[in-house]
Amino acid sequence: MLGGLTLTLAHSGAALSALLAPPNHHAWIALPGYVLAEVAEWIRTHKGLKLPTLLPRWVQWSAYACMTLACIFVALLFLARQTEANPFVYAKF
Amino acid sequence: MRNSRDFILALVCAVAFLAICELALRVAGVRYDYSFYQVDPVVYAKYRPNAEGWEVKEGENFVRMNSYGMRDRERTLTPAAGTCRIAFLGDSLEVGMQVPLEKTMAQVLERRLNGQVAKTGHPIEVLNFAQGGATLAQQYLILRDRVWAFEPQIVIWFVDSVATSSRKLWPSDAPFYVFNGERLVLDPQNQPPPYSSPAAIRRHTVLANLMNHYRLLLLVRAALQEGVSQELSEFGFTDRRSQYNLMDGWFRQPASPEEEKAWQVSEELLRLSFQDVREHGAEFWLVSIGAEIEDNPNESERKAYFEEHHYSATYAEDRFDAFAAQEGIRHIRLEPGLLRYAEENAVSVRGFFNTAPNTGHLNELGNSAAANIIADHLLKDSNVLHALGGEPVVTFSRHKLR
Repeated sequence: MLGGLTLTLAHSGAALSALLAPPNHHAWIALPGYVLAEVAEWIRTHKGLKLPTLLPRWVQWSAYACMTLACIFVALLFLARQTEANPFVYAKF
Repeated sequence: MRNSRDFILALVCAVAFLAICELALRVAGVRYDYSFYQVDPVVYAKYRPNAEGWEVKEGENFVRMNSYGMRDRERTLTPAAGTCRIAFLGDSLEVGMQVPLEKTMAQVLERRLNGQVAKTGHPIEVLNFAQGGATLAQQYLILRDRVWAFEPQIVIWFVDSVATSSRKLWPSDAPFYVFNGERLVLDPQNQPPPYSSPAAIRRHTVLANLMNHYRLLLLVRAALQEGVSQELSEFGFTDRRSQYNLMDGWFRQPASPEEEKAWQVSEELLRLSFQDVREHGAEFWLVSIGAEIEDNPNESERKAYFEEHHYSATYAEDRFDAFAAQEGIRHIRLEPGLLRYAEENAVSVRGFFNTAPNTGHLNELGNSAAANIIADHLLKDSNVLHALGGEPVVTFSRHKLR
């Protein structure tokens, strides 16, 4: 069992490389995504997500605008995920 | 006053947020399809002159069109004295968006022919008029509308599995031809694209070039053009594409009058093209390139595919052979050579790092192999090249791929 464990650990570098090699080479972006999620979770538990009413109005408006844009951005990312990548689709203007 | 100030500050923050999104997409290396096309009143769609961007569906390759809207080096309209020009007419398989320009079939062919003919003082130029998604009707229109201005002496015309489609079998926005009695005429149902006036095309060019510089705009385009329609079709709201299987048309004898009619239209288009080429004093070559399964080096996969679908492995190519023989056209079948190359070298001539092997468009090896097969045939049988002093020196099977 220990031998198998050592062998697995020895191959972990190669496994990580394979994980991040094409076509999965964009997978590393999950790391900053994870960090952002942790930061958001920390803010939620320590400060709460409700905007303080004492903040200036332009800050509140900016927060609403950015939240809206973020939702649209995520929706677009899902819509454009190209799960059905058809290489024979042409003439898109 | 205070309202305006707050609004402007919020707007600035929103724009900054969008800039962060753009940066995030760039840092993450996320790319979407770039815009390479513009509307055309004759062919309905053509490559936009000087359009540039990434091809990302198969491999990752930066593509730039030349100032004539061709996937080619920059060319002059009039050839230099003594130059022999060859025109490529085909679709995405010949465009080779997935490979660097110097590795495309046309460029490899040009280098190979120049290696053997140019010493006679006659440089060869292979001009690539191929266009992604071009139907036979569009190829014919490109031939008549654009090709002759470049004065080619040889025209190489490619056909593949979309060669025999018709509006009913495979609806698209492309122009179609139909028979009016014995004559082939443009289908009265053709609908020229809107916004094809010069001013509208100029506007689109500015916007499309701008879009190609911002991944956020490309994301919006990909989501709206592909994502939304894909979602809608998944929920059964749209079903624009026909259920017709193009492989049926390629590997099977026509099973309906419509399919037979599509074949007849294709053959008549080839006949008219051949006639046009002859009238211009040029040489015509027909090259058929088959479906991906035909050059799959895995014999058991090939066998299983044809057995499962009850296909004849060579129906379309045999029919083009018979048609070419009847019309006196030189016909090159690429697939036997591509398959031989794939088997002998145990490689896939299709497929990229981000796609399955033996699928999709030709990769660098496939482009090179196809170019060398064509070069062998031209050097052996082209009267134009023989007149220049070209002679068959190296055959493909022993030729080292470049």
